[in-house]
Amino acid sequence: MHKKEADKIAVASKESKRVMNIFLVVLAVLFIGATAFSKFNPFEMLATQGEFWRFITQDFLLPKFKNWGTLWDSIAETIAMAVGSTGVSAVIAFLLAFLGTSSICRLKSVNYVVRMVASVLRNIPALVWAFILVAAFGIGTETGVIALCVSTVGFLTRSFIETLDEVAGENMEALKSTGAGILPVISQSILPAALPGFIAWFLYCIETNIRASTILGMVGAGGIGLLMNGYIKQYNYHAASTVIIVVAVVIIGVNILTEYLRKITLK
Amino acid sequence: MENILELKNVSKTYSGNDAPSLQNVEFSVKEGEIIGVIGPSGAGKSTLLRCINRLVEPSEGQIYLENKEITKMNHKQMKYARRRVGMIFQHYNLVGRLTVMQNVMHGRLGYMSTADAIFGNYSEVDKRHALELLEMTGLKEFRYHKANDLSGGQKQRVGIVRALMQEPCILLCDEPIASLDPASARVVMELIRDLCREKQIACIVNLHQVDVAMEYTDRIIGMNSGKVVYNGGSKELSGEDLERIYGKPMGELIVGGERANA
Repeated sequence: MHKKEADKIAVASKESKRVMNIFLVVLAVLFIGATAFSKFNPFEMLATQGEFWRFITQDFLLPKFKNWGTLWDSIAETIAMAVGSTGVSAVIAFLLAFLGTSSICRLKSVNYVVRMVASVLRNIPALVWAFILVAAFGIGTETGVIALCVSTVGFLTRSFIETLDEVAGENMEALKSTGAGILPVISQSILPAALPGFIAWFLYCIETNIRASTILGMVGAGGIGLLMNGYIKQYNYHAASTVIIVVAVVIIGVNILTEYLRKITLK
Repeated sequence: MENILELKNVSKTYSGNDAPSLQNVEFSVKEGEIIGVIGPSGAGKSTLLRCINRLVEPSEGQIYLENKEITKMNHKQMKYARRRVGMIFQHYNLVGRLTVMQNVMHGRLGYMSTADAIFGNYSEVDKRHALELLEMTGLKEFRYHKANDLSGGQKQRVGIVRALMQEPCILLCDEPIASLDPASARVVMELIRDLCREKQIACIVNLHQVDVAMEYTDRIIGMNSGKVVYNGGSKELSGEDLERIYGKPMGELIVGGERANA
């Protein structure tokens, strides 16, 4: 048997097989370590199922709700927060992206600063910005919009820069060789080529920001989250569950809408 | 006939690279002359073309275009000079989402005021000219198709029309047929040759196919390691010359033994 094993022809190098094995062992060790550290017991979860389902079926469901007017207002507010902040951010990010890409702005130091700032803004979650801004500006929708804007500008700037870098190379060279100036090159070649990418990122941000603005509400930044958090704090779970279901439906609806928009714009 | 382009002692060394990509390159091009540049990959063919319109800055030497020294020009003068130099690319470099007509009109941007250029306000005269050229190249019916929807050969023809819209005195073609099938390649090479003959436009074509270079050009410049090692009539190119250019014995240069031995 062993001899046959040795005769087998390997299709990958021994080195890559060994790396794979080490990777699997490390993964297993990490999982066990993390489980022990967090005292997470998968069996406990199964054992407490009864309690969980009692809460869901008795306290949470069925949804009971009276203040539909307030609910719709809050939903509208949340959507407005997401769309408004994404729109403002897109305009700012659009301008910053040109300064951030070395194929258009030749000043390496400017590229660097823009990318740095965008990374910092992006890597701090909107929720953290909301915490800071609520402390500074107080509770309200404006605070939520600003928090979303800050993180979205960071995210979109990075994404727009990548899109520009992708399309700039060949397109730039062709139009530059005709003797066209930089502004016509941007408007006639780079922008049309980059537009589908820009739109895709923009729609993606609308989606994530609707989700984010729901959560932002819970720390006091207005919208549907604020309403939901209020019900949860009053132990009014039947109302909270209504809000959660409506939020889920709205998010799914927005996703379907953006998916459709993506299809018709990217053709 | 007078020289339309003259290179004197042109060298280029990319930063971070010890070996020069171009080394003391000297040659001149007459009005309407078609020149093929051949040589192994990395011999400096692309760098040579891009030095001529200063998309790549030469490190040393002088380049004269229509008797004006372009290596001395400032940014703005260079933009004006570039209008007379059409360029054609291996990967066509069209804006795929725009129509054939829009791509073709890009050749006029250098002649327009900045405002008109930014908003794409092309003149009716230019548009009529574009239609004529599209008709000549068999693309008129495709004028409102998106460039992405065309075949490779059609895309390259759009590239040629865009370059011609500049009313160039010289065309620089960087491997124009390297991504095309043999039939489309033939159409494109014939088109380049015939249009250049008709309009008395000089042309420098980088090529990988020696037989194509010998068939379609008046003169061949052979390059190896950044140096011009052959500069003479395309019909006089001998096997020895080819060995010198490609740095390999003849036997290793022929694929399938098809090439007519010169």
